[in-house]
Amino acid sequence: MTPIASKLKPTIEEAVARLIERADNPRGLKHSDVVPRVSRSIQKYLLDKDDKADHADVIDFVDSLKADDLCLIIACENGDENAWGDMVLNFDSCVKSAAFKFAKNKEDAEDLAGSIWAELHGLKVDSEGNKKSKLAYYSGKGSLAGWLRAVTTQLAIDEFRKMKRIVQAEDDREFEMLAKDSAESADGSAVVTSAGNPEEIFGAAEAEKDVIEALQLSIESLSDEDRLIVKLYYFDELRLKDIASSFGYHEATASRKIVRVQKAIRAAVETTLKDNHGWNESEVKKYLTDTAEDLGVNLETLFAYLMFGTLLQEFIAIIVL
Amino acid sequence: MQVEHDKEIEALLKRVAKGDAKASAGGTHLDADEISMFSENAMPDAGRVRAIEHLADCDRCRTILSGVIAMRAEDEPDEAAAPIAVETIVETQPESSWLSKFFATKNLAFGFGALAILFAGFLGFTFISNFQSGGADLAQADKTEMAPARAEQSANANLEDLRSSNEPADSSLAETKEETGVVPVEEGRILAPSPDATTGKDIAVPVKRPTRGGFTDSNRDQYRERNVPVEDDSDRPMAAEQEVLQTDVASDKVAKPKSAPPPPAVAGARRSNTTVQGESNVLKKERSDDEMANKQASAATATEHKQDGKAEDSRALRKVSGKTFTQRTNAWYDQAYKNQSTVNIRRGTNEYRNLDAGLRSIGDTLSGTVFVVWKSKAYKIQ
Repeated sequence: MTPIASKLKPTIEEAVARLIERADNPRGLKHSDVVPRVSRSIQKYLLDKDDKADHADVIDFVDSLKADDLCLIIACENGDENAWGDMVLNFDSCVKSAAFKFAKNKEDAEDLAGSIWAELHGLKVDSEGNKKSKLAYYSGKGSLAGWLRAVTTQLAIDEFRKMKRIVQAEDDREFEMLAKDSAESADGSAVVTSAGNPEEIFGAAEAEKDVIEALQLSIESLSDEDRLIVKLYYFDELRLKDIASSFGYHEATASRKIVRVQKAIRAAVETTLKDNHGWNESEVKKYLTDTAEDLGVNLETLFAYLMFGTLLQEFIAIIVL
Repeated sequence: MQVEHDKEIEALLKRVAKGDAKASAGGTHLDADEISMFSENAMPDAGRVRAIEHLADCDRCRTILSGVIAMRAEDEPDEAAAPIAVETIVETQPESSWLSKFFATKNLAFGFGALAILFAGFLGFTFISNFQSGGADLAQADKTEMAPARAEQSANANLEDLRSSNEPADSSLAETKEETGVVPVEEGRILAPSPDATTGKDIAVPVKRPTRGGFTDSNRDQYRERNVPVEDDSDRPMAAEQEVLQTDVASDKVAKPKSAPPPPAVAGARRSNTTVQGESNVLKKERSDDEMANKQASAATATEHKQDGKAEDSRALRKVSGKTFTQRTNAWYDQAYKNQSTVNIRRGTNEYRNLDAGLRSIGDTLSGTVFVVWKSKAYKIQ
């Protein structure tokens, strides 16, 4: 890590002074308490990524820091009991809420939350005898609540990942097992097709494999951002609105990106199936259409049935009345 | 601007998502600070590119990121939501069955829903209106049933009034004239010759108001009914009424009140220019005649009183709310009513409802027209 250029130090100090003034509760922190912390963040997020960062970038970076959250964290690091009390009082619910998302029951959630607070307080001691706390990793760029959620999620995933790996390992192979079963089953109760003879069943299974392979290749061919959006939307099932807020644009923009990505995937899949597996045009379209129908849930059909049932019920009510 | 989503590709992607192997990208994972910054769109541009690159391939970090984004959306929905442009997203329908095509239009589906809701609302409105009108009909039926009964009662009362009022009021006067020769001089006063003839003067003494039959000041109403103007002397004491009319035989003049009609000729007044003996004989004769006349007059008055008493009995007297009412000519008259100007009020109107409770009770108790004086104010209730 290269040290901060001396020319930027006055700029950093002035920006930190403004940051302390900006805070509603600076918690008695001095200029010397905050500057090192901010300097590390600038180094990490600006100078390491971009050597050409100038004074304006530094000023913008420091001015965008969450002053109160940063002062609270620094005060906690300095052992301010009042600051710790405020932190637990204001953010314990946030930590527990995040813990509940991953815990099976209330006891596990409280244990997880307790572990997180212990990690934050610092159980480990470095060579110099100082407590090693995760608080040191908070830069103040994002909100403290968001940071605590990320810490909680990270710890939860790391703690339960082994069990999840076992479960997810089974899930990972679920689709493949389905494909295998459908290929091996004699009654043709396949997920994709209801072919009657073994040759057709085997063909369907192979077709599925080809499609999956083509699909994965097409996803990999996407740009990083598009791939991330696709995975956040389809794999993690996030809402477009939330995805868009994280990327800093409108939901409509995210929707258009999805549509563009879908077109790109379709084109890539069709090309792969034709070029690499020798499918013709009609086979490609037929398989893709059949796949969409096999989803099973046609909301409009359900709605139509619902309306018909409601009207029938009203008609019967009139007759009875 | 309509954005069409490819449903077929979406289905394929969801299938792949289920079977996606959790890959972990190489390199350094993002720490909590970076993930939180990225989720809040607070990461500097320089680090953002690297973060996207890592997140696109690292399922672990992407899972943490998605978890943070989801939790932030739940805890802070207002802050998490980015400004949303109003756009409609229409999913393309794959070529499928006729049912899907029939309901392909979203508006048609919503139209069915709206029709169902409208139909249910119409049913409910019809049911409620029928229920209310049925209750109103019942109330109306009760009123119509009671109205004829009330009309019948009032008709009977009127009929009785008519019967009572049709009695010849003046017949007693006629009888008085014919039988006794005594003609009422003025209202309520009957001039009859005095039995004392020695003075030669005929003294008209007013006949005492008969006490038989319970005659009171209210009997003055009877005279009014006979269209005989009666002075409103209800406030005068009884003694004042007993005025002695002095008659001058010679002048044959009779003193009388101004309001009285001109007195008829006094049949009993006579001039006697005969001698003393003749006078005594004549006087004796006259005396006997006078006695006869007195007897007849008393008999006539007694008859008249009887008739008046009967008439009085036939006319209804009712006491309501501490007031006494007499019924005549299809109307009830308060004793306190003196032909003053009245406030006309009809039953069932808002004015009637706004009357005092006592006054209304009189109007409700007595049928037909009621003349009542209430708090120094005369009302005519119809």
